[in-house]
Amino acid sequence: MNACASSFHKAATEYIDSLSNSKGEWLTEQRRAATQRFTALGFPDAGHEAWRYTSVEGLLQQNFKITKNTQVFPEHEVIRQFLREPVAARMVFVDGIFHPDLSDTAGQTGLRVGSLGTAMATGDSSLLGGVGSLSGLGDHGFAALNMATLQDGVVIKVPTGMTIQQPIELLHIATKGLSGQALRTRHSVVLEADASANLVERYLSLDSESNYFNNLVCEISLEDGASLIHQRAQEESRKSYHLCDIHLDIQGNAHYQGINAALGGAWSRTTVHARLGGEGANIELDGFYLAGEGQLTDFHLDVDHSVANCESRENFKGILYGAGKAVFDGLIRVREQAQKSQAHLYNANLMLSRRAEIDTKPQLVILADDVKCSHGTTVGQIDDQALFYLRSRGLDKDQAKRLLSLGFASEIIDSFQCEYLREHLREEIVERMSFKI
Amino acid sequence: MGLVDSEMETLIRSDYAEGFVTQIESDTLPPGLDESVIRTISSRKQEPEWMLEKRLAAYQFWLNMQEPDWATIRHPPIDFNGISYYSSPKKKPQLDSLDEVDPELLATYEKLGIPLEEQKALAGVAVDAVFDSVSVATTFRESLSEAGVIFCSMSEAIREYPSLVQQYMGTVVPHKDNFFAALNSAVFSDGTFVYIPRGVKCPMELSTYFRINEANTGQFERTLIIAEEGSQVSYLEGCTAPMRDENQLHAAVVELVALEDARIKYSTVQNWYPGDNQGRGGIYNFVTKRGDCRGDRSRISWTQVETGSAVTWKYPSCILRGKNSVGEFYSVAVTKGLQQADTGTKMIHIGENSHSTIVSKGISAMQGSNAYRGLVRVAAKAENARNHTQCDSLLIGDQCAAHTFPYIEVKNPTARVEHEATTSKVSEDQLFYCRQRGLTEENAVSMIVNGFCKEVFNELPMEFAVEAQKLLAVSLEGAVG
Repeated sequence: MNACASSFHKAATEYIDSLSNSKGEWLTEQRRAATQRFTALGFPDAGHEAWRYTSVEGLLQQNFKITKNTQVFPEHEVIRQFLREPVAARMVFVDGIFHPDLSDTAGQTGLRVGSLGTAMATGDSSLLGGVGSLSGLGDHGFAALNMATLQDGVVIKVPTGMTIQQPIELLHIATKGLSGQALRTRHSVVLEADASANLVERYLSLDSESNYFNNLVCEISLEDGASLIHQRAQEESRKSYHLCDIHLDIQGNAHYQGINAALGGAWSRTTVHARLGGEGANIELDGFYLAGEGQLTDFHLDVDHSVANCESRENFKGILYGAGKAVFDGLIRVREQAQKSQAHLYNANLMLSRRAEIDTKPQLVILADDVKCSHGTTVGQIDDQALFYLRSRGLDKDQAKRLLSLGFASEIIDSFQCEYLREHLREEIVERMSFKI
Repeated sequence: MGLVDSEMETLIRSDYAEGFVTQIESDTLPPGLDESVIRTISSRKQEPEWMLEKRLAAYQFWLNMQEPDWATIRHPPIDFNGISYYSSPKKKPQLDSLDEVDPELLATYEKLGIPLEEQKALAGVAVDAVFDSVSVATTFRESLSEAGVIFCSMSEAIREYPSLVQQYMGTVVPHKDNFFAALNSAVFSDGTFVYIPRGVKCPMELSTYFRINEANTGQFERTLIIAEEGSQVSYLEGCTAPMRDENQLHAAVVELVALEDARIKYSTVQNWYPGDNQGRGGIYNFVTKRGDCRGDRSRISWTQVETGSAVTWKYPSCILRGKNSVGEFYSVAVTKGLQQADTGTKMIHIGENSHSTIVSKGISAMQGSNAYRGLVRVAAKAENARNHTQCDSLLIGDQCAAHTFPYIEVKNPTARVEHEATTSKVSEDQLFYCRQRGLTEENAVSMIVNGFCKEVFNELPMEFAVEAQKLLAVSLEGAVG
């Protein structure tokens, strides 16, 4: 274990020791086990295939602190602007800590939405059962650290047959005071049989210079026939680090639709591990990433067809400008018994600048024969003819490029179900690319 | 579909037709590898001092290397000290004509269907026959030398054209490149050397037939092809090996150098012994092949049909250094029984306007495992680089595996890179359509599989295309309904 890892190990151990051993700290044992797991794993480096293009050195050099943050943020007014849309339930986290005053957990009768912090404090095992059930103790050092020192998060349970029309919104807000800290947030979502819901996750920063590390793990189980729309918009501060591992377990005839947008962060990485565990399971993943000056954006997908008759479809598009760098890795795995699988993955990248870089790696691992699988990747530029057409209509070159780039992004952005998110993301993309490209 | 599957099985199970061992006395070193073995190889081959030094440097480097483990292949560990590193048919007096060649050797070639005499008379193909590790006969030398083409064994080239060999050998695949290239650089036994002078279009297809004959003999071929400015050459490599129980290691290195406006076309049909149905025996084929498009407008094209070997680990690559240079890779890989193949290519775009095309067709049958592993890298200075990659896998039988691992790294915004891959089985619709047109199931599948590979076969020189189609038919005989 190198110096950096041992300092994290020490911090994690101190953190666990500092927790009161009340009934709520039922996780203590798991936390200790995760610390050991962390010791065994260490931090990933370029020698790990999944991390060969995504260096964590910059992140480790920041020396983010693992602290016990209990301070409640007082500035409600600034945040209120984000709370206008109607929702079924809303959970607001300020600097990683659940903020009950800003949240709305009333919801529909039967729907259970609560903070992980509260659930841990009261030792509510019916809600906590899902924690770690899909992720285990973690498959890399950061995930293990999350388990060892997890702070807060959301626990959601949608009971059998219930349909939630309005979105359940998870709002994560980083303030200026967060600089230098590592957040450890974990969400656990269970949709029981035939339930359906719409989850919106947003990551925002009130200060663009704020420098923090958001280390997240999200576990989602869809039981037979359940259906979830999961919309994620990551707009962290431009100096922040964002790491999110999403674990999905999709049972028979269940349907998961994920829409991702990653715009912020100096360094951001999202991994989706999806296990199609019951016949008829279906997953659709869409993603858009925008990486500009000094940004690295990484998406890793691992879709595992473990039984027959499942379908998966992934479509990820990215725009790179400035010295932006993007990494994409899309693995489709079809196990021996997963006959009649259909899996299709597509990744398209638009490179707008000389200093940009894209490393993309779609992968197929097929162990069954009666399958239809495909993947496609492209790296290209704005079409000269399209550019010429727009210029002949009186747009200047930058306007035309922006318009075409926005058109490129729209295919994904339009899949967002919430209109306000679509509008907001479009504006944000245009604004981020507003300088000369 | 059940009927088709079972018939496919019978077809696939067809035996290896090339399994026989030629009884020829050979001069073989005892198994093991150390400096003295390398000195012996070098002295047996009467090599100059500089060659020995190169070998020893490679050996020293190899000692500190780890065998790579990233490929999706599994095999028992290779005992590098259990292999004999030199084997040659007993030295004969210098040969002037085919009559002087050991008749047993000639008979072997006849069994393979390429009698040298016939080759001589037909098709204008010059054959440099490498029997195990030493070239024993070279034909068509004279007509080639009229054109100024040098086509000889590597050992001869080292003795007679040392300046050319020194200038180019190891510049495309340096011994530090990888574990097997380092091993080859230390112990390579022989191979082929081709030099095409400036502006010359090689008057005939050059061809080498490889045979691995001696049991327990690793074969370490070293091939170097240099195409000077404006020259053109097409090189054919075909391989068959007799049936043996123990795994044989083959670690070859092929280096191609294309200078300005030069064109090199390198075609391979590989049909080595794949092992029996229990996975016993079979060749381990770890090959490093790389072409360097050094000159502007140069072009290197790799075409391969891989049906043999128990394990194939092979990534013929192109370094596209010259402006407007072109790299191509066309591949059909068939794995059946317990065969495993991890193959693909690397296209490194450095020069402006460099273009590359990759077409890879994998067929997995029974428990066969087939992986495409490719890299397309566009360096920051490679303006207007263009790549198109197409990888298709065909699955026959529910225990086979097909994997696709393309890596795409782009650092230039003017690059256009496309990658597509599909994996599927022969569809019932396709079969039904052919059947209702009166084709038997066997013919229908055979036609569909041939159609699947057509894009690659079209790239082969004519003689090879015929052989490749035959091989594919034999490989999948009966399997295909």
